[in-house]
Amino acid sequence: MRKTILTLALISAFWILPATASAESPNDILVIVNSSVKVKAISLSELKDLFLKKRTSVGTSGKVTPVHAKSPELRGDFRKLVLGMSPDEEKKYWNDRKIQTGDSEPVSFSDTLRATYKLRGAISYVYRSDFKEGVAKVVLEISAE
Amino acid sequence: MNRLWVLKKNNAFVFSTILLLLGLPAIAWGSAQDAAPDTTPATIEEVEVPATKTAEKESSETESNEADTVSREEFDTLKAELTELRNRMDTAEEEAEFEALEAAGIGEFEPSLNIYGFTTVDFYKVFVTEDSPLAGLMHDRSSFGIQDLNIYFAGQMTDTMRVLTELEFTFMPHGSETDLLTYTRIDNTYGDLYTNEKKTLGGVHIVRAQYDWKPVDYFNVTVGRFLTPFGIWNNDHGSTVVIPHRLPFLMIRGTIPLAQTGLMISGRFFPADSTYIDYGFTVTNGRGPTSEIYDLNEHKALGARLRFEKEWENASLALGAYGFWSKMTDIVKTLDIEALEFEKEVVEEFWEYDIATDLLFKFWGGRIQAEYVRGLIQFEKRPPVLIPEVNIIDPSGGLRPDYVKWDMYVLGAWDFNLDTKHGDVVLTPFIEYEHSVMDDTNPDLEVGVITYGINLSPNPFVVVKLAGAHIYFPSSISVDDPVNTINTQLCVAF
Repeated sequence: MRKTILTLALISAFWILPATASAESPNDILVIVNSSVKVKAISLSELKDLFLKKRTSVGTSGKVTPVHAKSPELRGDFRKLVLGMSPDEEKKYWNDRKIQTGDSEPVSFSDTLRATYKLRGAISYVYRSDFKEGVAKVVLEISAE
Repeated sequence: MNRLWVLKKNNAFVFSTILLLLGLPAIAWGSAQDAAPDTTPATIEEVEVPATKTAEKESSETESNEADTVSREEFDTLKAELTELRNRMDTAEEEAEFEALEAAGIGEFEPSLNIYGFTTVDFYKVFVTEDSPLAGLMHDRSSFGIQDLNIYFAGQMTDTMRVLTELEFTFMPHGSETDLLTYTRIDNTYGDLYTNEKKTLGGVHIVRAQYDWKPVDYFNVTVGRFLTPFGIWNNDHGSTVVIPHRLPFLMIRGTIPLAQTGLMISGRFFPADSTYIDYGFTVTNGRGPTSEIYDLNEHKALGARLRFEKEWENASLALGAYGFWSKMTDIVKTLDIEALEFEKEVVEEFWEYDIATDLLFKFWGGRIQAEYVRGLIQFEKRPPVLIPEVNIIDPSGGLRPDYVKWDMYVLGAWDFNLDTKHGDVVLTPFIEYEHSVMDDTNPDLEVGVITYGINLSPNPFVVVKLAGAHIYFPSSISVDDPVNTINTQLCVAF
């Protein structure tokens, strides 16, 4: 009986640990918007369209201005997870887009959190570890995995 | 029940529960310890100076250590000041950017003017039999040439207003053969007035000069000279984008006007994720000898565009159509000097009804695209019949009848992405079939073309093309033999 209880306790420990472990990673990407952007959430598809300039608004958001990150690591993760492009594919896309419509690639800032806070209509992204509550609104969370 | 047994049993249960509760934080604490930052000094500045001294060197080392300590303090101070200066510079730079944007009162980050373009250099050889009439019309000696030098000026004034200008610089009209009866070739070579150096003058073709107002995705206004919203490669005509070495015949022959001067209302709807519906309405001068700058009749050409596109993870499908209705008028003016009056005479006038359809299917690296354009020309004032290509009045006389024109092409291509030591390279073999009937009443104007080739793209800005074409005339009375061409091109986007 004693053995059974001890075994059960040990088994419970192994079950509880993974359940209580956090599912969030500091490398998750949070998509953030300026307070002037009137939208509560956006989909991955809408986010991709905004950053490829296939659209300029989502729902009743009004005109939204995409802002890229200058950080190569963050920009690379965003490109892979959201745009689904390699760096060369992205360059070629903007070469073609400029010729077709005159649209240019979104601008970049080092501190995207600050850029989103300061600039009206901005939408950008940060790593979860760099996000500060109250500075900008999160409209989408993208898992690093 | 044995009280001792129950007590022991309860103790065991309590003990195991305590073990469990203690184990959780213990394991968590252990993980935190594992993840704790490595405290090994990363830089030479972080290494502590060893405190070991010998008695003999104690006094000198004391003095030396004091000096080291002073210089160490100075060094640390300087280092901290440098780090703070760097941070302030980065912050100041971004502050300046923020202030400039806020002063402009806009939430846009794009620069006010972008200049970019594309250019094409090619080498080609045309193979045509000497006794063919085309031997005199086509340049059949191997030649180098510059096919495109297109420069774009894209100015963003506000977040909704923009100007887009595309200029094509060309050596034309230098080298153009304007009269084949008496043979006249334009020579634009002149001696410099100061140095007498021979210089060849070219020209500028205004491909488009449009002003866009885009307040929302579903409603855009464009005025000026803009590209007709039809097909796949009319708007997207960069040489680094178009797969073969030249545009399809339906564009070269202008089956639908490639550009128009007037007004366009357009927009895009998003019925579902990755699904787009585009529309457009055009009101313009239409087609005519002066339609770029003024209209010779009161009838404005009307056009309507509808396009559907759906994207999936590894594929996309786009279907489009454009309808065009226009009246073309050409006039000549005669001045009556005595009466001081101008008399206008209509020399040619017709109604034009066109429909263009397009399909683009992409799947992984593959691509299948097709376009079909069909038009009806109904004359109100018939001109005399012209000999095709040379545009000389046919001495056999007669006036042009109403006619139907149609063009189509189908193209298949595949992008192979190769990982080489020079980086990612894309290889694109392709094959294209075209059939063009410029005037169904004139068999000499029917042509079929098979184009095949391979493109190499060593980086996103450059495409090297190698292509061959077989051109044949299935119904021609005047031309029996086909024409073959070989073309190599270097296309650069900058």
